[in-house]
Amino acid sequence: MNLRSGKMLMHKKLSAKSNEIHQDIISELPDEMLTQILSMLPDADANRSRILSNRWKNLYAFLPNLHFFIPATEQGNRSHDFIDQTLSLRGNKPIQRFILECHNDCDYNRLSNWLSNIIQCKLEQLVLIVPAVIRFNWELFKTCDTLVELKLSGRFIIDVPEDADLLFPCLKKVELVSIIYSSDESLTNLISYCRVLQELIVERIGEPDNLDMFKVSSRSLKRLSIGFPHAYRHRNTVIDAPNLEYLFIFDENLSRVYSYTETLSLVEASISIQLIRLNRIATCLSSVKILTLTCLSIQALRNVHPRLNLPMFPNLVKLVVDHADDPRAPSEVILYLLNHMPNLEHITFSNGYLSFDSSWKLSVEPPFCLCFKIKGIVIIHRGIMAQAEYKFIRYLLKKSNILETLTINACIIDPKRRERLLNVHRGSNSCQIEFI
Amino acid sequence: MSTSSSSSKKIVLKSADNETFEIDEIVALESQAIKNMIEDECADNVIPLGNIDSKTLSKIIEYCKKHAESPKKDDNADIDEKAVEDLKSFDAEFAKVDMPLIQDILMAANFLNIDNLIGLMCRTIADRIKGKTPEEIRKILNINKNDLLSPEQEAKAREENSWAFD
Repeated sequence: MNLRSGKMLMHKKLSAKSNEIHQDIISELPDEMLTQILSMLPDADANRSRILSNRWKNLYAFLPNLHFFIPATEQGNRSHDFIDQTLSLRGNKPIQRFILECHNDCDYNRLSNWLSNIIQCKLEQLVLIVPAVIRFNWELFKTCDTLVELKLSGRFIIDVPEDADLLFPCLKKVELVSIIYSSDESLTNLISYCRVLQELIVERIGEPDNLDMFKVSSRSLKRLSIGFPHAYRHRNTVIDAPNLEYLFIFDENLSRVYSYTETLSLVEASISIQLIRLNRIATCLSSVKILTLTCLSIQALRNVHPRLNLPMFPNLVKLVVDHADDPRAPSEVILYLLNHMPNLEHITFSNGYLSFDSSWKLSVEPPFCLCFKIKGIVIIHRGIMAQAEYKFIRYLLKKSNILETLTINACIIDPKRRERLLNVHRGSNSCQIEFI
Repeated sequence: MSTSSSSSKKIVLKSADNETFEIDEIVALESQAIKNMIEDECADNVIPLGNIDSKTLSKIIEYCKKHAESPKKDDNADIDEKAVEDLKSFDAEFAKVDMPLIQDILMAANFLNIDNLIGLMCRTIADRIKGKTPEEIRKILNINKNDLLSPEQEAKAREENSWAFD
């Protein structure tokens, strides 16, 4: 039986060894084993294996993950032919992930053929990066019950009609980058018709994309990230996702209206949003445990906080204040925030510097969390520590009674100030100061 | 090499260089091929493994012993986390051998059909060739120099996958 054929192999190997030539053992292994090794490598590494030797040159075609690239300076149709050839070599063998990056106009008839082909291969993940304006063929995917992740990047036109009814029965994650929407409803329909969708990432980069209202309505959605970095004519943002757990918003373009359904399940949020919009969104964030506020929101707070009715954040344990573009985070604003976060344990100030408003009165009651809850303060990504910041840090050290560590990376603290900082009276006996 | 417990059923494996290894049946059952032989009752007292030398075989037995002792994933849902960690660090240590031996083990594990060990050896090889140039990989794996692509074939393949070579 099986063992006997093995015996034969061994004789060959032993004799080779006795001649002091170590054989190319690996190339004798079955295809399945070599593809198993290749499938554990990053795509580029697996791709390069084609030129190892004749034994290896076609193994790539049988990997579960395929990654193709059509360069800007395509010589003839070489990359196109290679894709055709690879797909025909592998036949209907299941594909886990298919990535196609085009850096010039690819032949869309052929692209369409590839998609029809791979959709038959139990495809689970599809990534298409195509710069030209083409309509995405939803019809093809309507009944695809294996696709779990879809990323479209480029100038695809998304046109999902009202009567599409059900798309992608298994799709859990969608990422849309620089897409053109044929109407507001197209996006709304797409999300509504993917009934088990859990994660949506929308990045609007480049030319205007026709979207006037960004509206998503989904009961299954758990994670949502939206990035609107430029001033589109976009006006409204409506998020109706009552089961959301993670929310990331970067909105530079001043959505006039933010409207949200209450979500009590929200655990983590990261918000960059301007001015009074924060007012609209703040109530929806009140259940979070982890919150990141970036420069735009700090700016927003400073400008509106006398009028802002910030809710309490009873669950919040970790706050990150990142102010990359607007370097000043006045103590007044920080303390106003802390006053609404009674259970905060960790706070990170990243970038910029803290300032201590001269108008601010030291006699004001310090925030509850600072006195009784905060265990860790981290101050990172910054340069020279100014006098105003030093004053504020001194205040934090003095008022925090159970602080365990203060971590600072102010690389250019002058030695005198460093010495002074180490000697500052600390509210907590066990507090350590770490310079990194 | 022999095990101390005498109560359980023993299996004797014989390597290509005629060394015999007496092991508990439970250890031998880690190999799907041997398991099939025992179930089909075509295993004699001594199972000759004419294509596995004693150095490779003793490594494989070391692996099977450890894995036979450890609780199996499908036994119950709440396996001891410590046992999992312990097995992980055993595997990591086990894989710290030179490439020819890794390839011999992989070859033998394939032959004996020991899934976990195949996975471990494939992962080890992948880790060692990751990020390396084709020239370096040919050297690491000792790929047959008589089987190289012609310069034209290689140039074509490089062009078709230009992004991977940047």
